[in-house]
Amino acid sequence: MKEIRIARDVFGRNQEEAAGLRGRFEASGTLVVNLIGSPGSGKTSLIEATGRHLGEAGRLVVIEGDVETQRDAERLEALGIRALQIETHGACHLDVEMIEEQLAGVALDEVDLLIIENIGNLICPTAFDLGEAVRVVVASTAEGVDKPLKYPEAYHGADACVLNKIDLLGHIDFDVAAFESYARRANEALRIFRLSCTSGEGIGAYQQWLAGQMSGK
Amino acid sequence: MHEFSMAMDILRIVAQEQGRHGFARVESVRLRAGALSGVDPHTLHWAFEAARQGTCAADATLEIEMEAAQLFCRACGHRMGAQAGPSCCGQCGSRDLCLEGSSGFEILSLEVD
Repeated sequence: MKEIRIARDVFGRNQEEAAGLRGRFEASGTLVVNLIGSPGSGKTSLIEATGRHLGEAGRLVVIEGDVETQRDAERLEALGIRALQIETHGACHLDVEMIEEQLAGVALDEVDLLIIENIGNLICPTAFDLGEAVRVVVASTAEGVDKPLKYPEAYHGADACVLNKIDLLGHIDFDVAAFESYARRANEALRIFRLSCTSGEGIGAYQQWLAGQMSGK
Repeated sequence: MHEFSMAMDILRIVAQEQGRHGFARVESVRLRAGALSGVDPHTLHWAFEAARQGTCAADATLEIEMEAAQLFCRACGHRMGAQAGPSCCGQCGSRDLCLEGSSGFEILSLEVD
């Protein structure tokens, strides 16, 4: 018996593939956002709000990841947003291959913003780079303050955090300062946007940040 | 359950190393997972057992070194385990804590015949 020393990253192949995809997005000038969050945190509502904000000139395409059904893509198409649905039938995350398959029919040069809504899950999607420029973790006040303690990977790897459903504050026991301090434990540089997709409060600041990312600021 | 993807990635690396070194079978695979890697060792063992069949690692065991996450208090410099999920520093009571851990997941070495 002998020992062979390797010292290789297990995620190396996915990261190489993601780097290839990132190169394509950079060449076409498409900002890609990977949205990660629990089921029901408001990921699709946030995309609807973004679509409304950008209007028809926004050149937005959405890739919707769900375990089952086309419901989310139908929701977005009702607003005139081009949406491509991935149904994973059980798989808990999206990977580069699934994204590449969806992009086969998309002229990226004509897309300014591509939002990928990942499977509602705070664990598995965090380990898979999809070639995105920015990763946003969506949380909601209804989930309780301790999610960043329980799922630190989701916050550690994110550029920004949206805390949705702030219209519920006052009706539920949710300490915003505690949530934010827990989130910053995992990621000191995290940008946090408090907003409500229902009332529209706080949406403007998030859209402004997104616009800044799109123009490379 | 992304551990199945991880098991497949491990086996892909093992196959590449077999091509390079020409061994017949793998006895064990040593891995190191960071505290923020999202690796669940129990699920990974299970997924690897399912994925390894019919490969040169069909009898191989996984030895997974898991890094323990630590919390560092930015206010007083105290370090504590992250396991219990304390809401503040056990020493000074500050909420300004920082989670320390790596998100890396590395295959260190193989024991082969």
